[in-house]
Amino acid sequence: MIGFALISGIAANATGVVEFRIKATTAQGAVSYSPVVTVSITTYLPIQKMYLVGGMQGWDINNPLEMINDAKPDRFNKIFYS
Amino acid sequence: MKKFLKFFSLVAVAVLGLAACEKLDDLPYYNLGNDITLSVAPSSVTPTLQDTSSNVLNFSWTSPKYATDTANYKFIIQIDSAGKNFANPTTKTVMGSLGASYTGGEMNNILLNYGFALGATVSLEARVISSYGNNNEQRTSNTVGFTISSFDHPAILTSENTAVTGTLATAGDHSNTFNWTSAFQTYTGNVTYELQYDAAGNSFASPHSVSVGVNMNTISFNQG
Repeated sequence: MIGFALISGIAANATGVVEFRIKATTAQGAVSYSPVVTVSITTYLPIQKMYLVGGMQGWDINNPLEMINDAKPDRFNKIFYS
Repeated sequence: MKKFLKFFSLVAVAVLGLAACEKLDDLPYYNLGNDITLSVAPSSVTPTLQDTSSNVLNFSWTSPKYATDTANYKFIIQIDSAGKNFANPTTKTVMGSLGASYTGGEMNNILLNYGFALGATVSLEARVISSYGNNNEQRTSNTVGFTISSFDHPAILTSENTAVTGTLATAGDHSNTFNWTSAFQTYTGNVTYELQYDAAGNSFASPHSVSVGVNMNTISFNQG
């Protein structure tokens, strides 16, 4: 449910209202929409912490390097690599 | 004398043969029936959802006057798109009655199965074929035309919860279930459902959707 809110444009760690409806289609193509119901959804940051293990920290699994989240709207939940 | 005896013997055999025949009663005669005249009322109708179980179209026809009890009269009503010469008719069979009615739901099913656009006014034709119960002596009535439109019969959606929340740690836990009644409830074909959603106030201008499936009436989601 949180995913619906995030996809609909509601920010993380916020509350917003999402509208739902049913679209029904017959085998011949007639379409009907149900009346709308609303659900208030409180979101969270749907991200796990990520750690990096490598030569820069001696390949020590007990001392991993934590990767920092970039919470800027145009970067949040995106992965960049080079 | 020999010729006379021979002739007499032949006559005697013929007489005895005829005398041995048994005369049967006349065979029963079942008449071919009369032409039947069909009429429809009203000739134009616009049913609504409230007419789903109510009669909206009434057909009546004259008696073919078959030589049997009226309970054994058989009538097949055929309905098809106007001008199609009943190439693909929908049928309804009634016994012993000189009329039949269709509910709004029945007509909606017919219109939806023909693939007419929802709410569009279309021209249909009907005729009745009468016969004895064993289909003998079929008589086809005149054709009557009428106009009719289909109506929307939307699903009614309900949500288990009006407000939900969650945490990353419980993202896999159950959050909410949506249920809905079947759309087009008198329609006999398959109905495919999808759940659409959008932020409030967007009026579903660019809705997102989750495919649900054919003839399904529920779907559940976890918190994530």
